[in-house]
Amino acid sequence: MIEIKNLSKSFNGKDYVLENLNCKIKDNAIYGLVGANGAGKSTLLRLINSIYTPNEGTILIDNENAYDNELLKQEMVFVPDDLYFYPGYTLMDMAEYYKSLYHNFDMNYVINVSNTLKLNPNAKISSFSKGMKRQCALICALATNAKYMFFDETFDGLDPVIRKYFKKLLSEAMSKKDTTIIMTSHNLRELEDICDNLGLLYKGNILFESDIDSLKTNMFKIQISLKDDFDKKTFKKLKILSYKKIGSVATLIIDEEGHDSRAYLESLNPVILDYLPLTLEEVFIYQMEALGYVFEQNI
Amino acid sequence: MFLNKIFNFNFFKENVRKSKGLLAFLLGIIPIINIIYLIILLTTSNNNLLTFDLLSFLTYAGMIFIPLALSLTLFGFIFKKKSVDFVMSKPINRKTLFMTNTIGGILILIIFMLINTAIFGLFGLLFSNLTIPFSLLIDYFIFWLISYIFMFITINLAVVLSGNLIASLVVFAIIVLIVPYLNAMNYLANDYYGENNYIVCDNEECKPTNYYCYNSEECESHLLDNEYTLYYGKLFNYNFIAPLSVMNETSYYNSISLVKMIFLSIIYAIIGYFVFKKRKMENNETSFKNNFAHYLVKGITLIPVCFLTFAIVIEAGIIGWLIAIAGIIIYSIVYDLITRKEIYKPVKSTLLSLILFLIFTGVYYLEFEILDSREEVITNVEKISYQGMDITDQSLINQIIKSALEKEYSEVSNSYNFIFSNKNGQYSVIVDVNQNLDTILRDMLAQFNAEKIKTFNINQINYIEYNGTSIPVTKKLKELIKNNIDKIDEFDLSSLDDEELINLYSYQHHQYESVVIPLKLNEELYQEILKYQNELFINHQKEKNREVYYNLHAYKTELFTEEDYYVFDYVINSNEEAFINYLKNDNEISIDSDIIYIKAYDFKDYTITIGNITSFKQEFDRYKENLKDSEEYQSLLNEYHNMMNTGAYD
Repeated sequence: MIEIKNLSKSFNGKDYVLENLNCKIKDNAIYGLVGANGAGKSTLLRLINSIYTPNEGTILIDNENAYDNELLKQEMVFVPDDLYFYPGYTLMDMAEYYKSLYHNFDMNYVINVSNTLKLNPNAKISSFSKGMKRQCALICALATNAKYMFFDETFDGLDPVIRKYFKKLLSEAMSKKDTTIIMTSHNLRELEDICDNLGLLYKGNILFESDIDSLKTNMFKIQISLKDDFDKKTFKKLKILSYKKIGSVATLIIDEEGHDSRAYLESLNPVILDYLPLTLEEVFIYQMEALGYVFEQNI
Repeated sequence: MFLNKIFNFNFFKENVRKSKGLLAFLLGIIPIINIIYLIILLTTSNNNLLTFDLLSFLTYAGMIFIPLALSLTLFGFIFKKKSVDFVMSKPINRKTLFMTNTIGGILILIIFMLINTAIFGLFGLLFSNLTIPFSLLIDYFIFWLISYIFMFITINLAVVLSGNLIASLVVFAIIVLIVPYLNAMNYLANDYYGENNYIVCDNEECKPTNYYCYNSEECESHLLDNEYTLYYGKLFNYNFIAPLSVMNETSYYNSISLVKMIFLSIIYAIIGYFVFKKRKMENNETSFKNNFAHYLVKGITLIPVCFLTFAIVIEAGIIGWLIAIAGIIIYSIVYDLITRKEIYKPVKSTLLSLILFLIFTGVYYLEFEILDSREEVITNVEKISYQGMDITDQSLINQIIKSALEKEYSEVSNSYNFIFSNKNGQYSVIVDVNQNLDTILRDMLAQFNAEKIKTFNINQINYIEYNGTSIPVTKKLKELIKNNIDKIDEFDLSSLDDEELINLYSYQHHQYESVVIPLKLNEELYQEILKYQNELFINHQKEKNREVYYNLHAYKTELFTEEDYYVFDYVINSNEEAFINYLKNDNEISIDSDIIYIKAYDFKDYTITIGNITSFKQEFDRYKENLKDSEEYQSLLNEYHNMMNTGAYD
């Protein structure tokens, strides 16, 4: 299990990218880390992987301090957003490099996956496209058989088919090898169908953590119209994350939190009452809006 | 197990593998040039006594760029954020990372030095005309290995301190050069007007005084009273870091520097280790996030920059000041742009640079105007050295100085390049001495050499040289010298010419000790050496048969005329076969008869000794007789006579 306690990181000593962050990531799960640009997702991954040194706080992995812990790092692999390969190296060269550092590295895995992807393992990586480079990095990382895998902007540059294939590989790693995967992505739809859990990083802290299913089942988008005039106060019994009224139809985003909203709304004799499904991206945006983050104005 | 904790072989192996091309170039370039250099030496000379400096100059040339490139290869990941992510996320901790790169770099440098040393050793073994003593090889290996390691560790420290390539180079230059630079400044300041310094003597003693007259009439009149000027050059006792002592007039090898470099290497490695452990990797690509460190380093770099502007200020007055100020402002901005990739707080930064400029310029003024005027040059000479002989007797020291000052030009008998030593340093002084002092010094030197021969370890002779030719050091020659060395007292070495002396060299205590013994110490020795020289030439001609230029050296006899000297090369070349046969069969060499020399040159120099002058003269006359019908020869003779008539030949 990864346990982060009171973690703070500032690059200039004044402004904190992460501030007093606490979170727990359970084993054998795929954890999606989301947040706005500059929220500190990459910084958090770099801190966990001892690339950066925290100003304060500790990161425990399997109850051991993770910072600069060589033994623990045998069980950790990190694929950053900005990929790096040694100049002139082929996929096989990189695999050899990983093999020399990771005890459980599986060279056959590299060969098999690269064959499946029709990736020439003996061609220079520098001649590959962005997506192919990403494939190389992911293959090497998955072949380490590390217990903890960290991916920053995991599927960046991959086409839909390859993306789907790697999602399958990640799921297999988690289910067959008890791997814990922490991944970030700006594209929430990417995380939607693969993550078990989601953490929302906001203003240097984890705003909420939840498993995806309950996130999606707790939040609803409702379109409603009543016979009489109405406003937001009419629905004061609900936990409204977002409220917009155009003409006589209002659109509500509510957090159900165990209440039966449908029964309550039906008791108001609505002319229109529709429950619409929410994508994870919408969940994310409405949660942020609810917290005062005006999304549109920042785009 | 402990080694495994600090050295990750796999990481090192891959780190080397990724840069194998560059490393192969680094490890190969100097050895390859060394091989070319040795081949050139072998093909151009028969007498190659390789000194520490001759072995070293190419190694010296690579002393900065090889450790620099090695350090940047191993620690280069620090300069890029994405490579930092890649390297630092791997299962290797900072301690092991630093130690692996440091130890690995040292291993590479050991291999590099072993290759160079092996090349020199191999050439020394394979070619008899290349003398490289084993102890010299050991000195070379140890000295340069430590020097390279010192540079490597210093650059590593600079890299981990700064995290930006340009800033790393600046920090490296500061660490390595700033102390020698300030040291050199001190020397320069004191010798700024040092070409004309006077030593004045009264009846009792000499009191050297540094006179430089800044338009002082009194001073100038005093200068006129002193008829003789003693020119000197101050020698750098420059052992802070010997490899950087480019201005040092002595050898690169310096034991004090060696100890300093070992000590500093350990200190710098320890500092580097702790800095790396604590290093904030997010600061890569930009140097010195810390303002104080940024301004400190920038301030230090202004020290040499302000020396340049000082020179402009001195030369160009007000315009110079304006140019200097503009230069400092531009430097300040460019430095920030390079190291921080922004014009960082321009007003504050420029103001600080200008304040420092004023301070440093003031210091330079003090250094050159005030410190320079102090009387400190060659006072209280404690020792005068010449060819390894130390003169410490104060009355003789005074006599030498007085001789230099009181001589008349017509009385000059000999010129000596002495080293004067006092508590302030060493000075190279050329002194013209009169006959009387020359005799005293020659006698002293002869006595000194005679004493030296007795303590000289003949078993450790590395090189024997006679008359410009190296003689192979054989067991037989060593035995001959050893068994007859007691006879040396029978000879007056000071009265013998160079052609009558054999030079023996032995590499001891990091330098060559040399002594001279008379050629005629023993008949067998005499024969061995002269016959070897002749055989060397005969064999050379047999194998190569190149065109050779012959030059007669027979000034001790009057048998040969000016005409003989003029036509000598043509005559011998025209009768070369007969001449070689003469050398082989009829050239009787005996210790009791006089000898003359013929110097032969093609790409190399050869000395041929003629043992029986009369017989050779007859032989030579026969050669001339053979040519009497030759038009070319007659033309040469006419040419000579014409030149004689016009006086051109004189």
